[in-house]
Amino acid sequence: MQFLYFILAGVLGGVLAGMGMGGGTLTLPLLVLVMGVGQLTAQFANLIAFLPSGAIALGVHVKNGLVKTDNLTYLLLPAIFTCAVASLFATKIDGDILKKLFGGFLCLVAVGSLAFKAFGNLKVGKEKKREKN
Amino acid sequence: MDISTLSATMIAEGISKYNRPDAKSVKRRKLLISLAGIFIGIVNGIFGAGGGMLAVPALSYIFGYDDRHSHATAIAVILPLCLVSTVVYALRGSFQWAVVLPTVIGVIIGGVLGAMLLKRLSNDIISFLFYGLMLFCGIKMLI
Repeated sequence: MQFLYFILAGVLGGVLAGMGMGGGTLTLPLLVLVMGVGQLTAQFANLIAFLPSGAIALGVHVKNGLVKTDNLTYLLLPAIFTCAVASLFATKIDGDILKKLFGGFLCLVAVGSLAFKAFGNLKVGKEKKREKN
Repeated sequence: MDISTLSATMIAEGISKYNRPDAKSVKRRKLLISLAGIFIGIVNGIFGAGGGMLAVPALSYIFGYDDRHSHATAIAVILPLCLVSTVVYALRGSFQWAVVLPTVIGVIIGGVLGAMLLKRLSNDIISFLFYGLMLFCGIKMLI
């Protein structure tokens, strides 16, 4: 029975990610807060689930010529290095601290995006007004 | 050549000069994207998620990619990162193994369903709800 609950939780979280809403940033809180899954376990499951779907999506995008590869190395080399170190760090620290860190990250992203959206819309609105004049 | 054509050519030349990246700005962009890479790697490594949310705005801000190109390129960025994280986690982490398998199955099914339901939500109200929910979850996890 437990097995089915976790499948259901995964489906609910996965639907949000599949709809293009933050790719996993809401899947994790759903698993952790509602289902009581450990933070690292939730992250691990989310990562494994992303690999096949991400690979398929990437294949489609490459085929459609949407992936810009010219500057990718400059981004990827440092990113892969810091990612490996940070992953190791995540496996070492306490799950509760990891959860709090993730909570803080979510707050920052949410507040930042809301502010940007409000500010961006304001700017667009102003430009529209100017056009009218 | 009359004044209006002359000024038009001058403006066109000025714009093309502005758009053409000189050596200095190319270098600056490479530096900026490397710095962004450091940060994206840290976030994606610690949380196993969230790198894409940072890579999309970074790519569109630094290189001026449009929405579709930055989203597609962001996947090319986070896929290798997620692979690295998965390997490191698997080798070093300890998990509730009984939970991992059903959750993975569920997330994959959900992902396919979500993609079929709707490609991307751009409605303002929905995105405000989305970030509101994210803020709520964040606070809940902090306390």
